[in-house]
Amino acid sequence: MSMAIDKKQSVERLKALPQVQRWREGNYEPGAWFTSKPAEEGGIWGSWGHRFQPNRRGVSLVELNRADRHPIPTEGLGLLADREAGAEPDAPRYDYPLREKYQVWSYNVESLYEEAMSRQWSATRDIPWDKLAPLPEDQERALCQFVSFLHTVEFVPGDTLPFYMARVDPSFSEVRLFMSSQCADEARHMEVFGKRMYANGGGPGMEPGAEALLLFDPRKSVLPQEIAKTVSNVNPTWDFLAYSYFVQMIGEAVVLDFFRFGEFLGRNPCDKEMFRRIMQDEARHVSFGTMRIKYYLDNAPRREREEASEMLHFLASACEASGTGFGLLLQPSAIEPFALLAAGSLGNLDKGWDVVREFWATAVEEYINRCERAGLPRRGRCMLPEEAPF
Amino acid sequence: MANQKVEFPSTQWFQALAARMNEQRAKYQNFGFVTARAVFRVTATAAGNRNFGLVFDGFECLEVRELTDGEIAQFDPDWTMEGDYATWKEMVQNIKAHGEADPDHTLNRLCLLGHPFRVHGEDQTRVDVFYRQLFSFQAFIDESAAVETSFA
Ligand SMILES: [Fe+2]
Ligand SMILES: [Fe+2]
Repeated sequence: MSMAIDKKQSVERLKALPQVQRWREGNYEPGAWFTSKPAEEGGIWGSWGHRFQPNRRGVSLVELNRADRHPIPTEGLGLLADREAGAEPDAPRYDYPLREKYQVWSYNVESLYEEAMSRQWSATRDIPWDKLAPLPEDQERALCQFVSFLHTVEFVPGDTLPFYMARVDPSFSEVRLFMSSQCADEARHMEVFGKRMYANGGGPGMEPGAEALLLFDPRKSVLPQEIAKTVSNVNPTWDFLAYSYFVQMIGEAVVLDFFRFGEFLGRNPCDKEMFRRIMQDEARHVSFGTMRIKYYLDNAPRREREEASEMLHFLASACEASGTGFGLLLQPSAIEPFALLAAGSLGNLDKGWDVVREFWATAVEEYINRCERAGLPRRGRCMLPEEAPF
Repeated sequence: MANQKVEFPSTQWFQALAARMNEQRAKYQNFGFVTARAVFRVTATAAGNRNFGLVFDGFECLEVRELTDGEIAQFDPDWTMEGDYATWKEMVQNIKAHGEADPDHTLNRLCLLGHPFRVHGEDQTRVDVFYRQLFSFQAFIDESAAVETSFA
């Protein structure tokens, strides 16, 4: 394919640019970026005169925002820029679907992001792989199946988070930063589970269909199909809000419980430390989701708040009733290996199942506590049985 | 010279762990910063229930003090980890014997089912700090491997 312009013409066009002409004439006087006043004084420079002290942890977004005399705007600016930056009159504006602060913010987002950065780890370097010890074959098989299941689960946020992240107005960069950190966490979980499956003489087990439970595939639901279909198409206006409930609050809470259980079951420092690291990451994700729902319900305009609360309760009832999230605890290819690991051997399966039953009760209680914290009281309304249904 | 023994449970015992944490900044920096107000509660000791309030910030434990039951609320902990003296003693002895908690004696292992240890608090999101920073808390408790502990 031939270009409609040759190199000589291209160079001529560059030289004809007004600024290039100016520089070619020796006029190096800086432009508006240097001479303009800050926006507060009517100019197009962003803002000026910020002062703050690093704390014992360094330069943290928490202190940075606290010390800033300019509040975080309630509405995004539609600019791909820092929220305090100035804009040239012809700067392009973008329509981000999530542009209100209440739609995206979480009470703890700055500190959670800082914590995420501080607690990153390497699946290659930070796990004591050399301390893996051979397990009895049934135990290694159970662990490989358990980890295969978790490996699958990790694809869900990786597939879905970037979709929402790209829709958040850049004025709320803390939210985007946190979501990026969550993407990095999920990728690392996928990596570490992928490595663990191969690391101790076993290998990947069966694809467990866990993602269908988290993504609410009506085919996997225990609800009648008509209701299941309604749930999978909840009002799209609340898409991100529903997502935070669906994935970050109930789905990841159950996954967090799985990771805690993985640590509980681990028989060597390698497996123990792997789950302990992962658990920390997951608890941040759950915390973000919980406090984000709370922020929304505290700050949305009244009418919207009431409707959103109703929608969330509907969604919660449906998820609880359908086994979304908690359905992971009813998935044979996850729970059976889990019970076998807790039992220690096939001859002891009863004991293993008793532990799983106790675990169910703990997980439900903590879920209800988190709902309470999010301003979505489910005590007395929760459709989940407090005791394991098996 | 033999190390002087420190009695468990006591403020000095937790201070000994804090001192070890504070002198190993690089190790704790690798785990990530800690921001927690924690209460370790030892029930059914010879002297009744004992509570120790610890403040963690950055890569350090900044404060250790004993609290009466009535002082816990004012201390405003993110979480309380609670268990009876016998379980604590077994855990501390296990850590001493292995250099760190063995698989049956990690904090999460002891807490997960709500027995023999239990982690609780007013606000589940603050309780979740326990899970968010557990790697550091486990390392902190494992410091007791280097403390000569006596039991009342
Ligand atoms: Fe994950
Ligand atoms: Fe996650």
